[in-house]
Order: sequence, then structure tokens, then C-alpha cells
Amino acid sequence: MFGDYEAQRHWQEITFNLPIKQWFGLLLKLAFTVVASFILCWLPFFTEREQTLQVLRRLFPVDRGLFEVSCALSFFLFSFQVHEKSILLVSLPVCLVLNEIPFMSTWFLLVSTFSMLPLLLKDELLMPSFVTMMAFFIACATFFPIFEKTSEEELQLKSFSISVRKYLPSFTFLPRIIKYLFLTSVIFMVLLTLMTVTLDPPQKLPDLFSVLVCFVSCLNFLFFLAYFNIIIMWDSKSGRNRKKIN
Amino acid sequence: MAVLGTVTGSGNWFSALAIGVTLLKCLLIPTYHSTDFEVHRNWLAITHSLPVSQWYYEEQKPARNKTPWFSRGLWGDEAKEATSEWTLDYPPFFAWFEYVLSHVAKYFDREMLNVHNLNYFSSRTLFFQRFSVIFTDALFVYAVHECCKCIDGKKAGKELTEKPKFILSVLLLWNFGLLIVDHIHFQYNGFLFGLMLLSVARLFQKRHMEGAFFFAVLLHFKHIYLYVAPAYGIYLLRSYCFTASKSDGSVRWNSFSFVRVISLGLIVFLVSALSLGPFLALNQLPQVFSRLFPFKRGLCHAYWAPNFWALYNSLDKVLSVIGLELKLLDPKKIPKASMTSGLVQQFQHTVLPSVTPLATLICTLIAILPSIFCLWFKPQGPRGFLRCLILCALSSFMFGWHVHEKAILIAVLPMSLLSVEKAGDASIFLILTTTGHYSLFPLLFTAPELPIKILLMLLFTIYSISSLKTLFRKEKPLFNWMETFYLLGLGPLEVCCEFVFPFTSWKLKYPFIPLLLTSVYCAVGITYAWFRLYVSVLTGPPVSKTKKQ
Repeated sequence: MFGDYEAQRHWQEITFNLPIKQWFGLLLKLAFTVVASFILCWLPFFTEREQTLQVLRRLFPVDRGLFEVSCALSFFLFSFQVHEKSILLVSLPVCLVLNEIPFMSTWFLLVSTFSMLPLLLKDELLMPSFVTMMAFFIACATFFPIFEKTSEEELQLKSFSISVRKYLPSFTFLPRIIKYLFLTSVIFMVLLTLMTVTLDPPQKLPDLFSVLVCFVSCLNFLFFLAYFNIIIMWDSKSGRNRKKIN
Repeated sequence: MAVLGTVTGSGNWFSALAIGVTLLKCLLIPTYHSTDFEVHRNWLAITHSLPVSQWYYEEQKPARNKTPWFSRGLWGDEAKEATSEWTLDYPPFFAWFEYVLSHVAKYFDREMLNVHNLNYFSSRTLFFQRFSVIFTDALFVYAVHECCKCIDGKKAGKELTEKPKFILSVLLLWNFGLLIVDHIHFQYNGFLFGLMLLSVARLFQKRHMEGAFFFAVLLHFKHIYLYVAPAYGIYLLRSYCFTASKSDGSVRWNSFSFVRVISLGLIVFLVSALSLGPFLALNQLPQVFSRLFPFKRGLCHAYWAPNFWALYNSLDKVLSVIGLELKLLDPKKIPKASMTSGLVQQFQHTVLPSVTPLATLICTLIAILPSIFCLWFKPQGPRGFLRCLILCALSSFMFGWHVHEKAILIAVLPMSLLSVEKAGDASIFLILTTTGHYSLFPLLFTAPELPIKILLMLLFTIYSISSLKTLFRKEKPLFNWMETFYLLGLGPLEVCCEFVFPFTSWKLKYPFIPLLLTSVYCAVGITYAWFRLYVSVLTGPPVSKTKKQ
């Protein structure tokens, strides 16, 4: 759930930036908010003990492995039995940072829709999904505009690049690498879509295209995982976060 | 990447608008399509499979009537007619257009080109037909681009969205009526309006020969544009063939240029020869004309276009009901059909005199005469011509014989050009457009299209009203209380017709009431807009100071 991710990040923020004495003040307020909202949601089901247990059993079907909800990309990538739709739970927070890192967010959102290709094809939604992806891409390219915001500064990788340049002075080509990676990723996505739509998979490997789609998407997601973690780790070191909190 | 960046960069809003609306059209591919879809498929088959000599003689009886109870075929052709529904009743250039399309169609699905495959449908056919409409809309996009160049940008605000060019582009490219008629109901109006707007733009740019050429070509694509031919004829004669006028605006007879007249005549003659020549050689001209102008149909459609005759019919009905109540009329003498449904083809009026095609022609001519006179005696340059064109289109809509409600678009689209320049025109435009667009609602009567049509209409209406209000915020308000009230009344009317009425008991006994209400309500608005436009033309400033012809 998004709440867990935000809670986690917020808690990291609190524990990192505040002295220990103040942790619990805010923590108590947070805990109270969370518990209060939970109580409000669960109130109808508290009437009977059996009802409460039933809800719990539905939410956490430990009989079929771990539960299907993912809380962030890490959860999505490494959890047990994750449905591809759960990528939407990651897409939502990415949409919220769309204004700050437009290029990477747009790229991520395109990949997340692409990763659901087998599902969309099953629902005969190829044309609408293609059209909406194009519309989204053009809107981002026009309004932000994303292709002009690929410098180190704008990708929020400045502090990371500076750290790397301490060991590798010639490490100035990060934006170019990222642009090429984007191009490669898009080409692969287009090719795979065309192949899935036009060709038939070979007899011995009937799920070939679905697996390829998964594989390519996973590679992309691992890259994004690395990227977002790099941002969090290097930006928190630079102290820019401190200004944002206050 | 750099190219994509420049195209989609911050400067190129026009491309973004055009691409955006194209993507929307792609989303509308799987929606409902009317019998016009089958009509055009049939024409693809006819032009592909049969020789030219048989194009206008082809007759196929429909296998079964799948159309809804009040619907019509192309151009209002009823299934009850002696000839079949789907005969070729557009001029030859359109037939050649279908012929060219058919050669692309064979790569999509050969089966659709079989003349005997009535009501043939496959997903590839659907894709091909829909994409052909979307593709030919490129001409419309180009024409809008040219029109934007003709707009006076002096009132430009600092923001992009306040510029007249931007507003005009949205009003034309994203026009709700055109979207639902072309991309849902299925017709090829996009590129035809593109030709018309292009010819108008050429006349604005003083390239009269090209303007005349494009209009001549347009006439041979779809002859409904004969409605506005008088405006072209008089304008070209007065402002192009007479190369100068006196200081008070009247004609200077000795400035008549024979060269220009002859070159214009030559253009029209050559285009007509190219179009009708083959059929003249085959001695088929009378047959072609009988297909193009079928006057056997009634005064109104099954769904009355919101014009003068809708008001006339409803007045007749009201009077007959009153007459029956007051025992002034003998129930036995009244034709049965008009008593029960009121929506028959051959409409016999009971109280008021019946209307013949000749009567409508005379009414139409009388209606367009004042605007023609204004164009001759008080030439205002291209803008005067545009006003006259809109008035001709509206007057023909008001008084024409068997008018289809789609014809309102011929008045709405050119009016967009005027609306971004003057506040008075903007006000008339908004009333005309909102009412005209609402009157198109009965074209889409299926449930899945209900949210689409309501939301798209709201989108367009809210945008047009708010953008024009912002553009003209320094002048007096666009609507008075009566007009606001009338426009707001469209909302409850829609709720009544689509949501409340189907659940009442009247649905079975009087199923035509929603159509009747829509038609009459919109007729009021359109008549009002027509009247106001006429007043503004007749009482406009005497002569524009620009005398350069």
C-alpha cells in the first residue's frame, strides 16, 4: 500500500534528521492517525468476531503464499506471487514525482504500461492502450518538455555523478547513457509489441512473447530500482532534503 | 530524438492539437456506426467491381432492414423507397474517391469489395474504413492551418490559450459535431469541409482562382454545398470580376474584367467536364441527376431537422389537436398517419397548407436574397463573403426540402472563423453551435455512446464558452438572461429525453416525443441565431474602407 511506503520514507526521514527525543512525539501523532483511520475503516466489521476474522483471512490468504499487494518497486519485484497489475501501485507514487523528474517518470510509466501487454492483449485493449500511451507521451513531451530535461541536474543525479567523478574523473556522460538507454528501451518495447501482435510463437514455446515482455520489463524495473535508490541515498546525503521538510 | 523534441516542443501547439484529436479519433474506432458504414462499403464494392457505366445504375435490394425505426440511410434515404437504400447518390468525384480507396481496401479485406456481400462486416473492414476517414482528415487539418493564418491576431493575449488562432484551431479541429458525425456515425465530412475551408482561406488570401477551383471540386464531391454556391458566385463576380468599386461602395461598371470572368468560367467548366464528362459520353446524365436530387422523399426526415419546417409541422399538429378538442375539425377528414405518429415521410398537413418542394425552393431563395443583395451592394471583402456564405447555408437549412440535421455543420464550421474576431459574432456562434450540436444527439442512440456524446459535448461547449468569454472579457457579456436560460435548458431537456422518458408510460404510446421535443427546442435556437445574424449583416457598417480588390 502506498501508505506503507510513505510511512517508511517518513520514518527514515524522522529517524535520520531528528534527535531521538523527538522521534516519539511525531511517531505518536502518526500512530494515532493511522490507528484512527484503521478503526474507522474496520468499524463495521468489528460487530462480530467471525466477521473480523473473515476479513483478515481475505486480506492475507497465507494459504496461497504471501499476499498480493506490493508496497513499492522492491515489493513488486521481490514479493511472492505478484500480479502484473500491481505495478500500478508503483506507478501512482511515480506520477506524484512527475513534476520533479519528468523524464524518468515518463519513461517508467511507459514501461509499466508495456509490462501489462499480455493482459491488455487478452482484453483486446491493444489499440486503446497504444493510443493512450502515445497521447501521454506526447503530452509529457509537449508540456514538460521531457527531452530538454535530461541534464544531470534535472535527473537529480548531480550528487551521485560528483561522487563517482572522485574516482572516475571522466564520468560526464551519464545523461547521454541514459538517453541511449531510453531509446533502446523504447525500441525493444515497440519491437516486442509488433512481434506479439503479428507473429505466432513457436510450437515448443507458446508463452515465448509473454516471457520476453516480462523479461524486458523486469530489466527496466531493476534499472529504475537502482535509479530511485541512488536518488534517495545521494540526495539525502546532500542535505537538500532538509530544506524540503522545513 | 531531436526531431521529436522540436515537433513536440513548446512552440508547436498546432501539431499537438492535431495529433491529440487524431488519437481521440483512434479511440472512437470501435464505437457504434450507422448504416452509412454499410453504404460506403457498398460504394467501395460498386466502384471496384463494376465498370463506370454501371456505377449509377446499380441497385441492390437490402436483405433485411436492420436500421432502427426512425433512422435513415445516407442523406435521409428511407428504406421504404422503390429504389434500394444504398445507391450511389453523390457526384462522380466522390465515386472516383471511393474507387481509389477500394484499391487500398483490397489489402485489408477483399471480401468487403464483393457487391453481393450486403452488410458484410469484419474487424479489418472496420479498421480500414475508420482509418480512411482519419487519414483523409489530414486535408481538414491543413485547411484549419490555412484559416488560422487569415485570422487577425491583433487581440492576442500574452498567453497561448488566449490567442484567437489557438481558440480557432481548437474550435475547428476538436469540433464536437464533426467528431461524432464523422468518427462515430461514420461519414467523410472531414476532408469535404477541409476543401470548403481551404477555398474560403484562399479567398481571404486573395487567391481567388484557387478558391474558385477548390469550391468547384467540392461541388463535385458532394452537391449539398450548392447551398452556399450563390455566395461564391456573387462574391467572385462582384469583388473579383469588377476590379474596383466607387468610393461609396457601389459597382464601377467599367472596371469589369473579361479575362477574370472567362478564367473563372473556364475553371468551373473544366472541373465539371472532368466530373460529368464520362457520364455525358455514356448518356447517363439524367440518371445521375435523378440519383443526386431525389425529390420523392418527404418534407422532413423521420427525425425532423430543427429548421423552420419543424416549427411549422409542430404548429400544425398543435392546431389540429386544438381544432379537434374544440370540434372545429372533423376527425374523419384528417389523414390517419398524422394523427398517430406525426413522423411519417410524406407529411400531409392538416390545418396549415401542405408544403411542396417548389414552395421550399421559393422560400429558400427569398431567404437568401437579402444577404446576396448585401454582398453585391455593400461589399465588405472576404469577411462579408463569409457572412453571406453562412447565411446562405443557414437559410437553406431553415427552408430546404428534406434537410438533414447534419447540414447544420455547413453553417457552424465557417462561423468559427467569425467568432474569434467579434464579440457579437461569438455570441451568435455559441448559440448556433450549442443548439446545433445538441440537435445531433439523436444520431447516436445507443447506450455505450451516451456517456461519450454527453461528455464530449460538455467538453466542447464549456471550452468554447469559456475561451470566447475570456477573449472578449473587455466587452459586454456574451449572453443576456434569456439566452443563458435557453442554453441551460438543454441540460434538463437531455435528462428528460434520455433518462426520464424511457421509464414513463408514454414511451410505448408516443415514442417520438423525445425527438419532437429536441427538434422543436433546437429549431427555436437555430432560428434565433439565424435571425440575429441576418440583423447584424443588414445593419452592419456600410462599406469597409479597404477598397483594394
